[in-house]
Amino acid sequence: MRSQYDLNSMTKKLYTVLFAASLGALLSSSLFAIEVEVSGTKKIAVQISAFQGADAALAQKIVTEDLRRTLMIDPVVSQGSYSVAASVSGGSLNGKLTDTARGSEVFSRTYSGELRKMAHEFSDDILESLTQVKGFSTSRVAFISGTQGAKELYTMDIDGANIKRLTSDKSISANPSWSADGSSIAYMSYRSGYPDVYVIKLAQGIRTRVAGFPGINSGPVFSPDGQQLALTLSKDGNPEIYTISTSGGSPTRLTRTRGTETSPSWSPDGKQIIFNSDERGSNQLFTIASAGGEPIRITTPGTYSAEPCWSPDGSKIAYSTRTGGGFCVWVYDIATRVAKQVSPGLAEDPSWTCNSRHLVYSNNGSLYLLDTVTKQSARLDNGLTNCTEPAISR
Amino acid sequence: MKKITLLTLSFTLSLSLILLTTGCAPDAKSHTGGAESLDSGLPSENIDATSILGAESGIAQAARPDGINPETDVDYSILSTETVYFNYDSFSIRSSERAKLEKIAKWLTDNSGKRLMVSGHTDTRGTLEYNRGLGERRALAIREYLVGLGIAQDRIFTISYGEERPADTGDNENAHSLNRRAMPGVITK
Repeated sequence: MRSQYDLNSMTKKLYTVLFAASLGALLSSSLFAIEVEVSGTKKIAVQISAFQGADAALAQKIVTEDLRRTLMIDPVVSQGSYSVAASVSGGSLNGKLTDTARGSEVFSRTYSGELRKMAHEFSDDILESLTQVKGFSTSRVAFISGTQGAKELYTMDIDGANIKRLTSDKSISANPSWSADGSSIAYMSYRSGYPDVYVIKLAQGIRTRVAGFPGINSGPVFSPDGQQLALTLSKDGNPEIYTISTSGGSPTRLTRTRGTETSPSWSPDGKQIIFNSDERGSNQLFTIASAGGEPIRITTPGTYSAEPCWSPDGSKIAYSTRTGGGFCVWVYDIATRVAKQVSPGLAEDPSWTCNSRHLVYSNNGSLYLLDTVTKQSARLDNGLTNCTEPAISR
Repeated sequence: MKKITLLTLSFTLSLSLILLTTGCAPDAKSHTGGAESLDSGLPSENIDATSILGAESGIAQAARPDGINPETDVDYSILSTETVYFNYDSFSIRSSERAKLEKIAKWLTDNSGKRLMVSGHTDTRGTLEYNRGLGERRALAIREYLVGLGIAQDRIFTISYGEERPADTGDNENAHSLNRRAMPGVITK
């Protein structure tokens, strides 16, 4: 009898433990599922109240479009989980984000400066507050626009405002890239008749030719500390990867193969450079120590991987892979060594935003913003045609 | 107890070694990659035995000709019939194209004061950057071939336009084949 009682008691305890464990597992799995859904394709509904004050309508439009462009927020007229309000006067914007369900304020902040900048900063704070994802609405995009006759270099705000044409070379421009501090743009131009690399200091409006060696000078990218450029030179025969000081001078050769190497990109710690090489038949990705060393293959699926771009957090490589009809953008995760397609369709020239989640790419003459987690994209309209090679400032 | 002969033993050992060392290569279908060293001593499938450039060849990149602007000082019409065409993703000179190079060499011999600017071009199917490199290698291949035919190195210059100056803007195989070319331009100054 006693053992039976013990068994019953033990069995009861066992069942209780099992039940609790299952319930716990169920609860935590369903919580996990909810988390996945939120960071999946479900957007957060955010209600935009009518902004008050001078230029309020413009500020409201900018914030609404910024939030929509993140592809993580759905700006609604009513019944949002959150609501956004702002009042604008003179050179200041008071913005507030409220949790409508709880009726509590998430944050309220005062911004100062030029109207568009204030609105973009407010949008970034809203995104970061709701998702912990850093916003990119204050970023500028450098890109190339034009046809064969004249491809010029432009910059614009991410919403297509403040378009500036930086060149009038009436020649072929290509490969724009930003310095980390946003003060300079490096690019390639045939303005001399030959493909040369230039650096433009934006505030001063000064352009300097940094590389004009025999052969090709192209694909310049700034090192994270802004002191050097990695680039493609064919001065020694076939196109290889070199580094050179941003003020020009004698380049340092990094690769030495019988293949063609192009399209370098720096790791965020400046210690490595990734590029593509066809040394083994068709383009594949390789890394090399920026101080020099042996190239190491990064194995990605498919027969052609090129145009690598290292994410600012160092964890991923965005790149183009050639399919039958064109290119698609994929992302390679360095830790897991797993690659997957992130573009919804054809895409090339990927350039990461500051948050290592969104990137910009080009397809068919238009520029797009992509959320690499949900694979949704939004076209960046700017009224120009034949836009390629976007590079977004961080 | 069976005696194990040396032969059997060594066979077994060899077999074991073979089985141990032929491990599983990463499945190409899976999306998991890895890292491996680039052995630059291994021949690449892309190498054409007649056109190896870089430090290994004796032909250096040509310095740019003084005072010449490739946009205004090169006439591509004079030798346009000798435009050399290439296969996809290749810079090797097809045997069917070699007669054109002989003609170019003869023209240069008959016009001893003239110099060439050879422009290299591609179709649109690679990346912009890579195509600039491929166009360069096509132009350099022409230069190397002509030097091999006896033309002085300092008479031949090269420039690449990659995919940026197509001969045919169509998006079909015929257009692509017309764009994969090197054009012998005559420097007019």
